[in-house]
Amino acid sequence: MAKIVSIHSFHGGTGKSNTAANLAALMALAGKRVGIVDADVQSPDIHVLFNLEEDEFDKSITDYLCGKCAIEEAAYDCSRALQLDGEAAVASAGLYLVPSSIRAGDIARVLCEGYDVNLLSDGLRHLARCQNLDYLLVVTPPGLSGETLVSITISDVLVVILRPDRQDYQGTAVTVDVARKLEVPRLLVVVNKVLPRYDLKAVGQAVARTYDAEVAGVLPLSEDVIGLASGGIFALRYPDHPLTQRYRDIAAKLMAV
Amino acid sequence: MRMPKLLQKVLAGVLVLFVAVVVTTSVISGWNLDRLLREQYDSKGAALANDIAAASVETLLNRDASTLQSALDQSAEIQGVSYVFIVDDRGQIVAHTFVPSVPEAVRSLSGNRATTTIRDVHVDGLGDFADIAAPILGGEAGYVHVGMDRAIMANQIKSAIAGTSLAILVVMIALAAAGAMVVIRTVTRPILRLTDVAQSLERGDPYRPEALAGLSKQKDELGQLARVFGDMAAQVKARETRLKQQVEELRIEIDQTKKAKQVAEITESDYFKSLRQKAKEMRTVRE
Repeated sequence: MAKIVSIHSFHGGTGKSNTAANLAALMALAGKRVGIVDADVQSPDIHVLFNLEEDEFDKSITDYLCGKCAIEEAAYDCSRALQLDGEAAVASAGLYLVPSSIRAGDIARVLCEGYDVNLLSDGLRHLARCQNLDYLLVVTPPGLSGETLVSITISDVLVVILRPDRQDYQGTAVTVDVARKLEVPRLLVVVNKVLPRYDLKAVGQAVARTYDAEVAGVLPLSEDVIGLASGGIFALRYPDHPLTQRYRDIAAKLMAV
Repeated sequence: MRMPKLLQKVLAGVLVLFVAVVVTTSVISGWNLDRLLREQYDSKGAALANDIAAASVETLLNRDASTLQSALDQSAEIQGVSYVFIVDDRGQIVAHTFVPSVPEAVRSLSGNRATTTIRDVHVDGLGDFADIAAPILGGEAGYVHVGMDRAIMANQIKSAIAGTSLAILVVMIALAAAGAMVVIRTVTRPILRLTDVAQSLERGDPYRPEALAGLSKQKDELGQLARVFGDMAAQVKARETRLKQQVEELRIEIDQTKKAKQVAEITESDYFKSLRQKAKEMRTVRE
Protein backbone atom coordinates (compact mmCIF):
# COMPACT_ATOMS: atom_id res chain seq x y z
CA MET A 1 0.00 0.00 0.00
CA ALA A 2 1.46 3.29 -1.03
CA LYS A 3 2.17 5.87 1.60
CA ILE A 4 0.70 9.27 0.78
CA VAL A 5 2.90 12.18 1.80
CA SER A 6 1.49 15.69 1.65
CA ILE A 7 4.01 18.44 1.27
CA HIS A 8 2.46 21.61 2.54
CA SER A 9 3.19 25.11 3.69
CA PHE A 10 0.99 27.89 4.94
CA HIS A 11 2.43 30.44 2.56
CA GLY A 12 3.86 30.22 -0.91
CA GLY A 13 7.55 30.63 -1.63
CA THR A 14 8.76 28.29 1.08
CA GLY A 15 10.35 25.92 -1.41
CA LYS A 16 7.70 23.17 -1.33
CA SER A 17 8.02 22.18 -4.99
CA ASN A 18 11.79 22.16 -4.95
CA THR A 19 11.97 20.18 -1.72
CA ALA A 20 9.32 17.73 -2.89
CA ALA A 21 11.08 17.18 -6.22
CA ASN A 22 14.42 16.56 -4.52
CA LEU A 23 12.89 14.16 -2.01
CA ALA A 24 11.03 12.27 -4.76
CA ALA A 25 14.21 11.94 -6.84
CA LEU A 26 16.32 10.75 -3.90
CA MET A 27 13.70 8.20 -2.85
CA ALA A 28 13.54 6.89 -6.42
CA LEU A 29 17.34 6.65 -6.46
CA ALA A 30 17.06 4.63 -3.25
CA GLY A 31 15.02 2.10 -5.23
CA LYS A 32 11.48 3.14 -4.40
CA ARG A 33 8.60 3.71 -6.80
CA VAL A 34 7.62 7.31 -6.24
CA GLY A 35 4.88 9.50 -7.64
CA ILE A 36 4.75 13.27 -7.25
CA VAL A 37 1.57 15.25 -7.84
CA ASP A 38 1.57 18.99 -8.35
CA ALA A 39 -1.72 19.75 -6.65
CA ASP A 40 -0.81 23.40 -6.34
CA VAL A 41 -3.05 24.32 -9.22
CA GLN A 42 -2.46 28.03 -8.76
CA SER A 43 1.28 27.86 -9.37
CA PRO A 44 2.26 24.93 -11.55
CA ASP A 45 6.01 24.61 -11.32
CA ILE A 46 7.14 21.05 -10.66
CA HIS A 47 7.22 20.13 -14.33
CA VAL A 48 9.90 22.82 -14.81
CA LEU A 49 12.20 21.08 -12.35
CA PHE A 50 11.72 17.81 -14.20
CA ASN A 51 12.47 19.52 -17.51
CA LEU A 52 9.07 18.45 -18.82
CA GLU A 53 8.40 21.01 -21.51
CA GLU A 54 4.97 22.53 -21.79
CA ASP A 55 4.42 20.99 -25.20
CA GLU A 56 5.50 17.58 -23.91
CA PHE A 57 2.53 17.11 -21.67
CA ASP A 58 -1.09 17.61 -22.57
CA LYS A 59 -2.83 16.03 -19.63
CA SER A 60 -2.49 17.34 -16.10
CA ILE A 61 -4.02 16.96 -12.65
CA THR A 62 -6.24 19.85 -13.61
CA ASP A 63 -7.70 17.83 -16.48
CA TYR A 64 -8.33 14.91 -14.18
CA LEU A 65 -10.06 17.09 -11.59
CA CYS A 66 -12.30 18.52 -14.32
CA GLY A 67 -13.15 15.00 -15.32
CA LYS A 68 -11.45 15.20 -18.69
CA CYS A 69 -9.18 12.19 -18.30
CA ALA A 70 -8.14 9.31 -16.15
CA ILE A 71 -5.47 10.09 -13.63
CA GLU A 72 -2.96 7.63 -15.06
CA GLU A 73 -3.13 9.49 -18.36
CA ALA A 74 -1.78 12.54 -16.58
CA ALA A 75 1.13 10.67 -15.01
CA TYR A 76 4.43 11.03 -16.83
CA ASP A 77 7.35 8.64 -16.39
CA CYS A 78 10.35 10.72 -15.39
CA SER A 79 12.81 7.95 -14.52
CA ARG A 80 15.20 8.98 -17.27
CA ALA A 81 15.96 11.99 -15.11
CA LEU A 82 17.48 9.55 -12.61
CA GLN A 83 20.14 8.25 -14.95
CA LEU A 84 23.26 10.29 -14.44
CA ASP A 85 26.76 9.75 -15.78
CA GLY A 86 26.40 6.04 -16.34
CA GLU A 87 24.96 5.45 -12.87
CA ALA A 88 22.06 3.15 -13.61
CA ALA A 89 19.00 3.69 -11.48
CA VAL A 90 17.67 0.71 -9.57
CA ALA A 91 15.63 -1.32 -12.06
CA SER A 92 12.54 -1.56 -9.91
CA ALA A 93 12.46 2.14 -9.06
CA GLY A 94 10.13 4.59 -10.72
CA LEU A 95 9.47 8.29 -10.73
CA TYR A 96 6.15 9.58 -12.01
CA LEU A 97 5.02 13.18 -12.21
CA VAL A 98 1.45 14.36 -12.40
CA PRO A 99 1.91 17.97 -13.42
CA SER A 100 -0.42 20.84 -12.98
CA SER A 101 -1.74 22.62 -16.03
CA ILE A 102 -0.15 25.87 -17.06
CA ARG A 103 -3.12 26.91 -19.10
CA ALA A 104 -4.61 29.93 -17.44
CA GLY A 105 -8.13 28.97 -18.42
CA ASP A 106 -7.89 25.62 -16.69
CA ILE A 107 -6.44 27.15 -13.60
CA ALA A 108 -9.17 29.77 -13.38
CA ARG A 109 -11.91 27.17 -13.86
CA VAL A 110 -10.63 24.92 -11.11
CA LEU A 111 -10.24 27.84 -8.73
CA CYS A 112 -13.72 29.12 -9.42
CA GLU A 113 -15.64 25.90 -9.59
CA GLY A 114 -13.62 23.97 -7.06
CA TYR A 115 -13.55 20.23 -7.43
CA ASP A 116 -14.98 17.21 -5.75
CA VAL A 117 -12.54 16.53 -2.98
CA ASN A 118 -13.29 12.83 -3.00
CA LEU A 119 -12.17 12.91 -6.61
CA LEU A 120 -8.68 13.86 -5.51
CA SER A 121 -8.45 11.17 -2.88
CA ASP A 122 -9.85 8.47 -5.19
CA GLY A 123 -7.54 9.60 -7.94
CA LEU A 124 -4.46 9.45 -5.74
CA ARG A 125 -5.25 5.96 -4.52
CA HIS A 126 -5.98 4.78 -8.01
CA LEU A 127 -2.70 6.18 -9.31
CA ALA A 128 -0.76 4.54 -6.48
CA ARG A 129 -2.34 1.18 -7.36
CA CYS A 130 -1.85 1.57 -11.12
CA GLN A 131 1.83 2.31 -10.98
CA ASN A 132 2.42 0.15 -7.94
CA LEU A 133 3.87 3.07 -6.04
CA ASP A 134 5.62 2.94 -2.69
CA TYR A 135 5.21 6.65 -2.03
CA LEU A 136 2.99 9.36 -3.47
CA LEU A 137 4.12 12.89 -2.74
CA VAL A 138 1.37 15.47 -3.08
CA VAL A 139 2.42 19.10 -3.22
CA THR A 140 -0.61 20.92 -1.90
CA PRO A 141 -1.61 24.49 -2.52
CA PRO A 142 -0.54 26.89 0.23
CA GLY A 143 -2.93 27.55 3.04
CA LEU A 144 -5.68 25.43 4.49
CA SER A 145 -8.26 25.35 1.75
CA GLY A 146 -10.71 22.52 1.33
CA GLU A 147 -8.57 20.68 -1.20
CA THR A 148 -5.54 20.90 1.08
CA LEU A 149 -7.51 19.66 4.04
CA VAL A 150 -8.62 16.63 2.03
CA SER A 151 -5.09 15.92 0.99
CA ILE A 152 -3.96 16.14 4.60
CA THR A 153 -6.81 13.92 5.69
CA ILE A 154 -5.86 11.04 3.43
CA SER A 155 -2.12 11.41 4.06
CA ASP A 156 0.00 9.03 6.05
CA VAL A 157 2.62 11.73 6.51
CA LEU A 158 2.26 15.50 6.49
CA VAL A 159 5.42 17.47 5.84
CA VAL A 160 5.06 21.12 6.74
CA ILE A 161 7.67 23.42 5.27
CA LEU A 162 8.40 26.84 6.69
CA ARG A 163 11.00 29.54 6.39
CA PRO A 164 12.42 31.26 9.46
CA ASP A 165 9.99 34.10 8.87
CA ARG A 166 7.35 35.55 11.17
CA GLN A 167 4.52 34.95 8.70
CA ASP A 168 5.46 31.30 8.39
CA TYR A 169 5.73 30.77 12.15
CA GLN A 170 2.19 31.87 12.76
CA GLY A 171 0.76 29.97 9.80
CA THR A 172 2.61 26.78 10.67
CA ALA A 173 1.21 26.90 14.21
CA VAL A 174 -2.30 26.91 12.79
CA THR A 175 -1.49 24.11 10.33
CA VAL A 176 0.04 21.90 12.99
CA ASP A 177 -2.97 22.31 15.25
CA VAL A 178 -5.45 21.57 12.46
CA ALA A 179 -3.43 18.59 11.26
CA ARG A 180 -3.42 17.15 14.76
CA LYS A 181 -7.18 17.58 14.93
CA LEU A 182 -7.39 15.60 11.69
CA GLU A 183 -5.30 12.92 13.41
CA VAL A 184 -2.59 12.76 10.78
CA PRO A 185 -0.53 9.64 11.63
CA ARG A 186 2.81 11.41 11.24
CA LEU A 187 3.77 15.07 11.17
CA LEU A 188 7.20 16.28 10.09
CA VAL A 189 8.46 19.85 9.95
CA VAL A 190 11.13 21.06 7.55
CA VAL A 191 12.74 24.47 7.99
CA ASN A 192 13.87 25.80 4.63
CA LYS A 193 15.94 28.73 3.36
CA VAL A 194 17.74 29.36 6.65
CA LEU A 195 20.53 31.94 6.46
CA PRO A 196 23.86 30.08 6.80
CA ARG A 197 25.01 32.34 9.60
CA TYR A 198 22.50 30.69 11.90
CA ASP A 199 23.41 27.58 13.81
CA LEU A 200 21.21 25.14 11.89
CA LYS A 201 21.05 22.65 14.72
CA ALA A 202 19.87 25.29 17.16
CA VAL A 203 17.22 26.43 14.65
CA GLY A 204 15.92 22.86 14.37
CA GLN A 205 15.74 22.54 18.14
CA ALA A 206 13.92 25.85 18.55
CA VAL A 207 11.33 24.89 15.89
CA ALA A 208 10.84 21.42 17.38
CA ARG A 209 10.23 22.97 20.80
CA THR A 210 7.82 25.57 19.44
CA TYR A 211 5.53 23.13 17.64
CA ASP A 212 6.28 20.07 19.78
CA ALA A 213 6.87 18.25 16.50
CA GLU A 214 9.65 16.27 14.84
CA VAL A 215 11.90 18.43 12.68
CA ALA A 216 12.93 16.24 9.76
CA GLY A 217 15.50 18.67 8.44
CA VAL A 218 16.88 22.20 8.45
CA LEU A 219 17.90 23.37 4.98
CA PRO A 220 20.22 26.35 4.60
CA LEU A 221 19.63 28.97 1.96
CA SER A 222 21.96 27.97 -0.83
CA GLU A 223 23.39 30.16 -3.52
CA ASP A 224 23.94 27.02 -5.52
CA VAL A 225 20.21 26.28 -5.50
CA ILE A 226 19.40 29.81 -6.57
CA GLY A 227 22.11 29.54 -9.20
CA LEU A 228 20.56 26.38 -10.59
CA ALA A 229 17.44 28.54 -11.04
CA SER A 230 15.01 25.60 -11.36
CA GLY A 231 17.09 24.28 -14.25
CA GLY A 232 16.86 20.81 -12.81
CA ILE A 233 16.65 18.79 -9.64
CA PHE A 234 19.43 19.91 -7.29
CA ALA A 235 20.07 16.53 -5.67
CA LEU A 236 20.58 14.92 -9.08
CA ARG A 237 22.76 17.71 -10.37
CA TYR A 238 24.95 17.96 -7.24
CA PRO A 239 24.94 14.51 -5.63
CA ASP A 240 27.88 15.28 -3.37
CA HIS A 241 26.73 18.71 -2.15
CA PRO A 242 26.17 19.01 1.62
CA LEU A 243 22.63 20.27 0.94
CA THR A 244 21.90 17.08 -1.01
CA GLN A 245 22.98 15.08 2.03
CA ARG A 246 20.46 17.02 4.09
CA TYR A 247 17.74 16.16 1.55
CA ARG A 248 18.86 12.55 1.76
CA ASP A 249 18.51 12.58 5.54
CA ILE A 250 14.93 13.88 5.25
CA ALA A 251 14.13 11.24 2.61
CA ALA A 252 15.53 8.58 4.92
CA LYS A 253 13.22 9.78 7.71
CA LEU A 254 10.29 9.62 5.29
CA MET A 255 11.18 6.09 4.28
CA ALA A 256 11.63 4.93 7.86
CA VAL A 257 8.56 3.33 9.34
CA MET B 1 65.43 19.82 20.47
CA ARG B 2 63.35 17.65 18.21
CA MET B 3 64.66 17.06 14.70
CA PRO B 4 62.01 17.97 12.17
CA LYS B 5 61.11 15.35 9.56
CA LEU B 6 62.13 17.69 6.77
CA LEU B 7 65.61 17.93 8.23
CA GLN B 8 65.79 14.15 8.58
CA LYS B 9 64.98 13.75 4.92
CA VAL B 10 67.60 16.33 3.92
CA LEU B 11 70.28 14.72 6.08
CA ALA B 12 69.48 11.30 4.68
CA GLY B 13 69.88 12.69 1.17
CA VAL B 14 73.13 14.40 2.12
CA LEU B 15 74.46 11.16 3.61
CA VAL B 16 73.72 9.32 0.35
CA LEU B 17 75.53 12.11 -1.49
CA PHE B 18 78.57 11.85 0.76
CA VAL B 19 78.79 8.11 0.37
CA ALA B 20 78.62 8.54 -3.41
CA VAL B 21 81.35 11.16 -3.29
CA VAL B 22 83.61 9.04 -1.09
CA VAL B 23 83.11 5.99 -3.29
CA THR B 24 83.86 7.97 -6.43
CA THR B 25 86.93 9.55 -4.85
CA SER B 26 88.18 6.16 -3.73
CA VAL B 27 87.73 4.63 -7.13
CA ILE B 28 89.50 7.49 -8.90
CA SER B 29 92.33 7.57 -6.36
CA GLY B 30 92.71 3.83 -6.59
CA TRP B 31 92.90 3.99 -10.34
CA ASN B 32 95.45 6.78 -10.28
CA LEU B 33 97.59 5.12 -7.62
CA ASP B 34 97.50 1.89 -9.54
CA ARG B 35 98.75 3.64 -12.64
CA LEU B 36 101.49 5.54 -10.85
CA LEU B 37 102.73 2.62 -8.78
CA ARG B 38 102.66 0.44 -11.81
CA GLU B 39 104.89 2.89 -13.66
CA GLN B 40 107.25 3.15 -10.71
CA TYR B 41 107.54 -0.56 -10.11
CA ASP B 42 107.89 -1.32 -13.75
CA SER B 43 110.64 1.20 -14.26
CA LYS B 44 112.35 -0.01 -11.10
CA GLY B 45 112.11 -3.54 -12.35
CA ALA B 46 113.33 -2.56 -15.81
CA ALA B 47 116.30 -0.73 -14.38
CA LEU B 48 117.19 -3.72 -12.24
CA ALA B 49 116.81 -6.10 -15.14
CA ASN B 50 119.02 -3.98 -17.36
CA ASP B 51 121.68 -3.68 -14.63
CA ILE B 52 121.71 -7.39 -14.10
CA ALA B 53 121.82 -7.92 -17.84
CA ALA B 54 124.84 -5.68 -18.19
CA ALA B 55 126.61 -7.04 -15.16
CA SER B 56 126.12 -10.67 -15.93
CA VAL B 57 127.56 -10.74 -19.44
CA GLU B 58 130.99 -11.75 -18.22
CA THR B 59 129.65 -14.13 -15.60
CA LEU B 60 127.37 -15.72 -18.13
CA LEU B 61 130.14 -16.18 -20.66
CA ASN B 62 132.38 -17.61 -17.95
CA ARG B 63 129.60 -19.86 -16.81
CA ASP B 64 130.27 -18.71 -13.26
CA ALA B 65 127.12 -20.09 -11.76
CA SER B 66 127.64 -19.23 -8.12
CA THR B 67 128.47 -15.57 -8.73
CA LEU B 68 125.44 -15.36 -10.92
CA GLN B 69 123.27 -16.95 -8.29
CA SER B 70 124.42 -14.66 -5.50
CA ALA B 71 123.85 -11.63 -7.72
CA LEU B 72 120.32 -12.82 -8.37
CA ASP B 73 119.68 -13.56 -4.69
CA GLN B 74 120.82 -10.11 -3.76
CA SER B 75 118.53 -8.57 -6.35
CA ALA B 76 115.59 -10.60 -5.09
CA GLU B 77 116.01 -8.90 -1.69
CA ILE B 78 115.10 -5.55 -3.18
CA GLN B 79 111.69 -4.33 -2.09
CA GLY B 80 109.04 -5.24 -4.61
CA VAL B 81 111.08 -7.87 -6.40
CA SER B 82 109.50 -11.31 -6.26
CA TYR B 83 111.83 -13.30 -8.44
CA VAL B 84 114.81 -13.03 -10.80
CA PHE B 85 115.91 -15.60 -13.33
CA ILE B 86 118.16 -15.78 -16.35
CA VAL B 87 117.64 -17.76 -19.52
CA ASP B 88 120.38 -18.39 -22.03
CA ASP B 89 120.24 -17.90 -25.78
CA ARG B 90 118.71 -21.36 -26.06
CA GLY B 91 115.95 -20.62 -23.61
CA GLN B 92 117.34 -22.73 -20.82
CA ILE B 93 117.05 -21.34 -17.33
CA VAL B 94 120.56 -20.76 -16.08
CA ALA B 95 119.83 -19.37 -12.63
CA HIS B 96 116.75 -18.37 -10.63
CA THR B 97 115.47 -17.38 -7.20
CA PHE B 98 112.32 -19.53 -7.17
CA VAL B 99 111.81 -21.88 -4.31
CA PRO B 100 111.66 -24.77 -5.06
CA SER B 101 111.39 -24.57 -8.82
CA VAL B 102 110.46 -22.32 -11.69
CA PRO B 103 106.69 -22.32 -12.29
CA GLU B 104 105.38 -23.38 -15.67
CA ALA B 105 103.69 -20.05 -16.39
CA VAL B 106 106.98 -18.29 -16.09
CA ARG B 107 109.10 -20.80 -17.95
CA SER B 108 107.44 -20.04 -21.26
CA LEU B 109 108.02 -16.29 -21.15
CA SER B 110 110.11 -15.09 -24.03
CA GLY B 111 112.06 -11.92 -24.59
CA ASN B 112 112.49 -9.31 -27.28
CA ARG B 113 116.00 -8.92 -28.69
CA ALA B 114 115.60 -5.19 -29.27
CA THR B 115 114.09 -3.92 -26.06
CA THR B 116 113.08 -4.63 -22.46
CA THR B 117 109.53 -5.98 -22.36
CA ILE B 118 107.05 -5.85 -19.52
CA ARG B 119 104.06 -8.11 -19.21
CA ASP B 120 101.55 -9.13 -16.54
CA VAL B 121 101.80 -12.71 -15.40
CA HIS B 122 99.59 -14.77 -13.12
CA VAL B 123 101.06 -17.75 -11.35
CA ASP B 124 98.64 -20.09 -9.55
CA GLY B 125 99.51 -20.24 -5.91
CA LEU B 126 101.93 -17.31 -6.04
CA GLY B 127 99.91 -14.39 -7.33
CA ASP B 128 100.18 -11.64 -9.90
CA PHE B 129 103.48 -10.25 -11.16
CA ALA B 130 104.87 -7.84 -13.67
CA ASP B 131 107.55 -9.78 -15.60
CA ILE B 132 110.27 -7.55 -17.02
CA ALA B 133 112.53 -9.22 -19.59
CA ALA B 134 115.79 -7.48 -20.52
CA PRO B 135 117.98 -8.84 -23.37
CA ILE B 136 121.61 -9.68 -22.59
CA LEU B 137 123.93 -8.62 -25.36
CA GLY B 138 121.01 -8.02 -27.66
CA GLY B 139 119.58 -11.41 -26.83
CA GLU B 140 122.74 -13.22 -27.96
CA ALA B 141 123.56 -14.31 -24.45
CA GLY B 142 119.99 -14.72 -23.27
CA TYR B 143 117.52 -12.73 -21.13
CA VAL B 144 117.14 -11.54 -17.59
CA HIS B 145 113.61 -11.75 -16.10
CA VAL B 146 112.72 -9.70 -13.07
CA GLY B 147 109.29 -10.29 -11.49
CA MET B 148 107.77 -7.35 -9.55
CA ASP B 149 105.11 -8.27 -6.99
CA ARG B 150 101.71 -6.78 -7.86
CA ALA B 151 100.24 -7.88 -4.52
CA ILE B 152 102.42 -5.52 -2.56
CA MET B 153 101.31 -2.78 -4.91
CA ALA B 154 97.66 -3.68 -4.42
CA ASN B 155 98.03 -3.68 -0.63
CA GLN B 156 99.75 -0.34 -0.69
CA ILE B 157 96.90 1.09 -2.74
CA LYS B 158 94.25 -0.37 -0.42
CA SER B 159 95.78 0.99 2.74
CA ALA B 160 96.36 4.38 1.15
CA ILE B 161 92.78 4.62 -0.03
CA ALA B 162 91.29 3.29 3.16
CA GLY B 163 93.15 5.87 5.10
CA THR B 164 92.13 8.66 2.73
CA SER B 165 88.48 7.61 2.54
CA LEU B 166 88.14 7.44 6.27
CA ALA B 167 89.69 10.85 6.64
CA ILE B 168 87.39 12.31 3.96
CA LEU B 169 84.31 10.72 5.52
CA VAL B 170 85.13 12.05 8.96
CA VAL B 171 85.69 15.55 7.58
CA MET B 172 82.46 15.43 5.59
CA ILE B 173 80.40 14.22 8.52
CA ALA B 174 81.82 16.99 10.64
CA LEU B 175 80.95 19.50 7.91
CA ALA B 176 77.49 18.01 7.54
CA ALA B 177 76.84 18.24 11.25
CA ALA B 178 77.98 21.84 11.22
CA GLY B 179 75.84 22.51 8.13
CA ALA B 180 72.83 20.90 9.76
CA MET B 181 73.18 23.15 12.78
CA VAL B 182 73.21 26.16 10.53
CA VAL B 183 70.17 24.95 8.55
CA ILE B 184 68.22 24.22 11.71
CA ARG B 185 68.94 27.62 13.07
CA THR B 186 68.08 29.59 9.97
CA VAL B 187 65.30 27.58 8.32
CA THR B 188 63.59 24.91 10.33
CA ARG B 189 63.25 26.82 13.58
CA PRO B 190 61.28 29.60 11.93
CA ILE B 191 59.19 27.04 10.05
CA LEU B 192 58.48 25.24 13.31
CA ARG B 193 57.42 28.50 14.85
CA LEU B 194 54.98 29.09 11.97
CA THR B 195 53.55 25.58 12.28
CA ASP B 196 53.18 26.03 16.04
CA VAL B 197 51.19 29.21 15.47
CA ALA B 198 49.08 27.43 12.82
CA GLN B 199 48.32 24.58 15.19
CA SER B 200 47.34 26.90 18.01
CA LEU B 201 45.00 28.72 15.60
CA GLU B 202 43.49 25.39 14.62
CA ARG B 203 42.85 24.57 18.26
CA GLY B 204 41.06 27.86 18.62
CA ASP B 205 43.57 29.60 20.87
CA PRO B 206 43.64 33.38 20.65
CA TYR B 207 46.09 34.59 18.04
CA ARG B 208 49.14 36.40 19.42
CA PRO B 209 50.95 38.46 16.76
CA GLU B 210 54.05 38.70 19.01
CA ALA B 211 54.75 35.04 18.31
CA LEU B 212 55.78 35.96 14.76
CA ALA B 213 57.13 39.46 15.41
CA GLY B 214 60.83 38.56 15.25
CA LEU B 215 60.45 36.38 12.21
CA SER B 216 58.43 38.97 10.31
CA LYS B 217 61.35 41.36 10.46
CA GLN B 218 63.61 39.09 8.40
CA LYS B 219 64.23 40.38 4.93
CA ASP B 220 64.24 36.99 3.24
CA GLU B 221 61.47 34.70 1.98
CA LEU B 222 60.90 33.35 5.48
CA GLY B 223 60.23 36.85 6.70
CA GLN B 224 57.78 37.36 3.87
CA LEU B 225 56.03 34.10 4.67
CA ALA B 226 55.75 35.11 8.30
CA ARG B 227 54.26 38.48 7.38
CA VAL B 228 51.69 36.98 5.00
CA PHE B 229 50.89 34.28 7.51
CA GLY B 230 50.39 36.84 10.22
CA ASP B 231 47.98 38.83 8.05
CA MET B 232 46.02 35.69 7.22
CA ALA B 233 45.85 34.58 10.83
CA ALA B 234 44.56 38.00 11.88
CA GLN B 235 41.87 37.85 9.18
CA VAL B 236 40.79 34.35 10.17
CA LYS B 237 40.50 35.38 13.79
CA ALA B 238 38.52 38.49 12.90
CA ARG B 239 36.12 36.50 10.74
CA GLU B 240 35.61 33.95 13.50
CA THR B 241 34.82 36.67 15.98
CA ARG B 242 32.28 38.22 13.59
CA LEU B 243 30.65 34.85 13.01
CA LYS B 244 30.42 34.12 16.70
CA GLN B 245 28.72 37.44 17.27
CA GLN B 246 26.22 36.76 14.52
CA VAL B 247 24.96 33.36 15.57
CA GLU B 248 21.83 34.71 17.08
CA GLU B 249 19.18 32.82 18.84
CA LEU B 250 16.23 32.23 16.57
CA ARG B 251 13.29 33.75 18.36
CA ILE B 252 9.99 32.26 17.35
CA GLU B 253 7.05 34.16 18.67
CA ILE B 254 3.56 32.87 18.14
CA ASP B 255 0.51 34.88 18.91
CA GLN B 256 -1.41 32.14 20.63
CA THR B 257 -4.74 33.95 20.74
CA LYS B 258 -4.65 34.73 17.05
CA LYS B 259 -3.68 31.18 16.33
CA ALA B 260 -6.50 29.75 18.39
CA LYS B 261 -8.93 31.95 16.53
CA GLN B 262 -7.62 30.89 13.13
CA VAL B 263 -7.70 27.23 14.07
CA ALA B 264 -11.25 27.55 15.37
CA GLU B 265 -12.36 29.21 12.14
CA ILE B 266 -11.27 26.15 10.26
CA THR B 267 -12.10 23.34 12.58
CA GLU B 268 -15.48 24.54 13.67
CA SER B 269 -16.88 24.65 10.15
CA ASP B 270 -19.34 21.95 9.12
CA TYR B 271 -17.10 21.11 6.25
CA PHE B 272 -14.26 20.31 8.60
CA LYS B 273 -16.44 18.22 10.82
CA SER B 274 -17.66 16.15 7.88
CA LEU B 275 -14.07 15.84 6.74
CA ARG B 276 -13.08 14.51 10.12
CA GLN B 277 -15.80 11.93 9.90
CA LYS B 278 -14.75 10.98 6.38
CA ALA B 279 -11.16 10.77 7.61
CA LYS B 280 -12.12 8.03 10.02
CA GLU B 281 -13.93 6.19 7.24
CA MET B 282 -11.12 6.67 4.75
CA ARG B 283 -8.62 5.37 7.23
CA THR B 284 -10.58 2.30 8.08
CA VAL B 285 -11.05 1.59 4.37
CA ARG B 286 -7.37 1.78 3.83
CA GLU B 287 -6.45 -0.49 6.73
